[in-house]
Amino acid sequence: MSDILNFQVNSKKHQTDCNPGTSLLSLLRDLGYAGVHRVCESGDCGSCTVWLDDKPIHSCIYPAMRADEHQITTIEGLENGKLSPMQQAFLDKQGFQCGYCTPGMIMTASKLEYESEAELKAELEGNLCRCTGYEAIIESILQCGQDNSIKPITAKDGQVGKDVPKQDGPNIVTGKPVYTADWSPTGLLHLKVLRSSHPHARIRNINTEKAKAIQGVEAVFTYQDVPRKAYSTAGHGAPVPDPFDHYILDNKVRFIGDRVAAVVAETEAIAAKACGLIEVDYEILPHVINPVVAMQGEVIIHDEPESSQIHDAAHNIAGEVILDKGDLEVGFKQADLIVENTYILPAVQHVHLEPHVSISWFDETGTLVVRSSTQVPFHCQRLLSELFDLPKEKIRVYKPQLGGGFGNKQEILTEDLCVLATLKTGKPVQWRFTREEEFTATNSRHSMNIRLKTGVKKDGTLVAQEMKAISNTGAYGNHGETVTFLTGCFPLGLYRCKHQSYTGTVVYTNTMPAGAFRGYGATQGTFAMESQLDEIATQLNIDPIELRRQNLITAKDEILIGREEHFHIVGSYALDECIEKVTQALDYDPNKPPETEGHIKRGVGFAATMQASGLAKIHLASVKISLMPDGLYELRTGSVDVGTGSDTSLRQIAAEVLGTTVEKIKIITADTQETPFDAGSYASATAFITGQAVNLAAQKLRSRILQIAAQEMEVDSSELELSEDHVSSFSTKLTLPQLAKAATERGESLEIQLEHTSDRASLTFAFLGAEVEVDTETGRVTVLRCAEAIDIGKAINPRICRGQATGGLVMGLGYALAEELRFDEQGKILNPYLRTYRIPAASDVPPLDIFLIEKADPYGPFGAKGIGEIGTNCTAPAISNAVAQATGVRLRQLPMIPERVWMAMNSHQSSVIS
Amino acid sequence: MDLYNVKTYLRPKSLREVREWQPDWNWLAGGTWIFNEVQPQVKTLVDMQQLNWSEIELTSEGLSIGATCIQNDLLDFSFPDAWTATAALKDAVRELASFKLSHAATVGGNICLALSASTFAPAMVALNASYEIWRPNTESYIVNAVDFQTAPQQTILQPGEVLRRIKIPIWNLTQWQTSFKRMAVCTAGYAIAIVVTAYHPQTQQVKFGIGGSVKSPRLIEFDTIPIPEQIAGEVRELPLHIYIDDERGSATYRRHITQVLMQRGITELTAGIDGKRRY
Repeated sequence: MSDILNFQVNSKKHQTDCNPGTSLLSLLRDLGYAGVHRVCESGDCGSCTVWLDDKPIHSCIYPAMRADEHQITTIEGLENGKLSPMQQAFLDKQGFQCGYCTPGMIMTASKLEYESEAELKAELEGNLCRCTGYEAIIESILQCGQDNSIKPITAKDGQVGKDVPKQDGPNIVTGKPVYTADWSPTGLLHLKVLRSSHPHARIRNINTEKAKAIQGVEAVFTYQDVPRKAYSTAGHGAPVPDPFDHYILDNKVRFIGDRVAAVVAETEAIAAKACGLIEVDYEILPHVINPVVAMQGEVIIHDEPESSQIHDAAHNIAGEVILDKGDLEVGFKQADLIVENTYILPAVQHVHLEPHVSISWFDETGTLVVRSSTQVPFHCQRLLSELFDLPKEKIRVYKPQLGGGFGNKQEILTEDLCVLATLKTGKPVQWRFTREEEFTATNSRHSMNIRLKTGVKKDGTLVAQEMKAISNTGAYGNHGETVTFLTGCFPLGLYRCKHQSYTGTVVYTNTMPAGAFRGYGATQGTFAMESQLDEIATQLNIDPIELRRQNLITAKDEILIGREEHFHIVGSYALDECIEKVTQALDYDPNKPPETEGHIKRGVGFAATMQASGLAKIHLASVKISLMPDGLYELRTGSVDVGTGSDTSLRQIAAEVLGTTVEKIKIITADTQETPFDAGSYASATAFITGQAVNLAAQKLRSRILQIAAQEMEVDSSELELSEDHVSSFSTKLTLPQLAKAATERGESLEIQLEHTSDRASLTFAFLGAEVEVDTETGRVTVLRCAEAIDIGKAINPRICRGQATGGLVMGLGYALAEELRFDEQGKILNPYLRTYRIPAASDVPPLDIFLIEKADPYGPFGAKGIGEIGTNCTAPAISNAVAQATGVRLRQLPMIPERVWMAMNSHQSSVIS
Repeated sequence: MDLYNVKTYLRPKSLREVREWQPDWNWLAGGTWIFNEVQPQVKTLVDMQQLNWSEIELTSEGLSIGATCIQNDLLDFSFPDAWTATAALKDAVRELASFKLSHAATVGGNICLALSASTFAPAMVALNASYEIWRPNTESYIVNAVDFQTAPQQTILQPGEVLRRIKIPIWNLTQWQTSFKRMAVCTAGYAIAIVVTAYHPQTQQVKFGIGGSVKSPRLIEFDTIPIPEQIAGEVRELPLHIYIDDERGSATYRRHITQVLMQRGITELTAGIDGKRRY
């Protein structure tokens, strides 16, 4: 029997052979159908959905050998001279953010039959999205076939504050090859690493001979082949605040999944096979996965002398944060009631759908090029330069379209070994993480135990608060101290309490490292704080809303915990309005008792939070904006659009200032060779800091244009008006190409480059309410409705902001009810697949009321503040508070899975009875 | 995902072509499971598609479902109105996972995989199904659905043996009203308990097919509609060690949920309520 397959993809016939274990997904991607996205590889997420003879299937779990004699349709085959109705609907209603799930969503949605919205959501069970919270996706599908054509937003309409479509939409809905792994230079080699199966061991000996002997293996690297330089994988600007405790390859492994050796081969299959043939002689060391035990120092995880910036290596303490204000003793003495409890937060994973992937090669000029799915191309370039002793100019790092990051790509996890391999072999090398590697060998949100003690007066005045967090940073300390700082800083800072203290201890254990994750520690602290406030309200018999109103910081307050003068400041303030909106939307009545109906109980709960816009003083954004000879503008910025739409928002800012439309602002981003420096995409900074840089640069360019035009037209510049195509006075006008030409003749530059940091980071505030239903027989918590108001300053693009809010909220829903990396005693992760680590699906999302409260901030561009992270913080505490209101049972551990809720209710009942 | 170690792909047209079964061979029915995990031990895939075992046959004796029947074909099949219990089979398809999986996944594949979360196992048990097992070199034999699985992912099948068809006698199909209920840690994902309830309105007989929570599927029968205490009593009589106790759910909780789903199943069937399948 011949193993040649004959099949048709879209309108093209193919004849090919393949390895018999190949999935249809790989076959299609190898043939160039890059719109078929590789995400879970287990049939759970639907990103690889194609039609086999018109029936949608998950191509990742379909044998390629069965494609024989079949017709396959991919996203690339949907267009027939124009977009298909479903593609058009997704484009019109913007049913995407990063776009990585979009082709699969469209291929699925095009074949769905449903009678109701609920049924539609249920039918979408096999399609996961991590960005949107599904709202825009559902809307797109429901409105498919209707005429939703949008009136173009003209320059006269203005650009800021308008729902300008995300400019990458057409590429996304058609499945264009825009992501990192969709293109590679010829002669590509593939890298895979052998990962440790022991939580803690020293490598006595490592034999790579058998692996090297396999045909197709190009090189094998161990710790003996790399420079021994300690560094942090965290993508931070210099001076790097994190411990230098990681090595490209090391003679010691510190968690199950840690790097042992790297193989570079012609195919991933060969590389994987060769990894299996590497013989490692381990000296097994005792291990520790519990941070409290780890602090006793019986097992030392970082005993190597080369590591530095570790707070107390002998006790496995990577870092420590101490913040104080007032005098706790004095404060607690004033208290009529003291409440003290411990809150337990799990390690959770980002689940950005596009995995970490990078490709490195030498270009024709001898520059080392790194194409990578990163949030921090400039930090990556600096680190690579340090690790390999190469001048920065000889390294170019750039990112194509990103398929989500949520903080996990504010790390340098793949680029270093790719570069090592390219330097050693001279050839292009790609390293792509599998989904299992994403779950077991990248980073999680820090799991924490937070002890919180609050003293309060009978009237509800907070008088003292003491918070102690033990933060599990895993095997490496990347982001440990900075994340743990925010755990105390924001939740405590949100309340006007005279005496506050916070201690955050960042502890190494032999588990997967923790790192940056949307909310960056504030999420954990917010759960503890907002839960405890409700506990206090219950004990004092005060309305929890009133208790908060009484104690929340006001527009006049300063956040002084741990600082004489703080750079986190209240710029604009509309938290009071947020509370108003949310309580109104949910018809909140503090006197209404919770409903009970058989075994169902219903309740409502609330939570508040704040998060800063960027990092004051250190988050540097440089931009360059020019008027080109053709009369169009070019904006160059090193900033990274993770998929949120920030590139579109930045263009809106420039267009607004220059009196034009986004279409006339060409943008080039996130390329160390082509764009000026930007710290990257993290800390909710892009709109606030890079946006302000764009605003300032565009203003300067506008002045320059008017000044040159004034000279050319011999009028006063105050009489001139800049519009889309020309500069005009009362009587004459000069087209922009004419102006550009005139400037060249005059030797004047129409190019503005500037740098911007913000002295202050304005705080964004948010308030969220959730209505829940608890099935008291099973413990299942179902969220019926959520309302969230975000004090955003100004929404540069309301639809994009709304997307951040819904996406963040739904990510918080997963944190509240479902997500948890589960570890065995060795620290091995037991649920490293999307089938066993469930993120919210469309049917989990309740109706959402999102309010963007606009009150211009004095420091942000057009008054805008950051919105990327804050949406995640409130969901879990609000749900927990609602469960408590409904059942009288307080869950202090996340996620609130049914068994935990049921156990809590049962122990509660029994304790009540006894 | 790609199965790197697979070197050979066989497409037998009859069982005679695979007499010499090797330890590193694996049957390939729909492929939705085998391609969802790394399979380092598998060198040869034996594709069952060309065996043509995908029939759905209705006879005077009952229903016969070929092992490689695509689940969606079962869902779309028009059964005689009187065969009310086929609703449980359709619910088993609906509750498998995404509808896109059931375009490829087979009925027999789900049964032979013997995952504790199998949606078909408790349905087959509740309908008193039996399985016809073919062997490469000798006679076939029949085993009751309830005796097929011995532990999670373990069945009585010996190497080279294969499920040929599922048979459900007609008296288990007609008149019986069924309900399918499942509970997972999250709203989707592996079930931690599944209860398929079959209720005969004339005779008042009740059968519960239990899966998900137990190491191998169980059948609990009542001659009359059980009162809650009877259900609790039956559940309590089963030792705790037959329940799965792992990171997805403790044995105690799984037992509790099994009882809740049994109670809800029979309450709804006797009251004529079309309740939820998922909790």
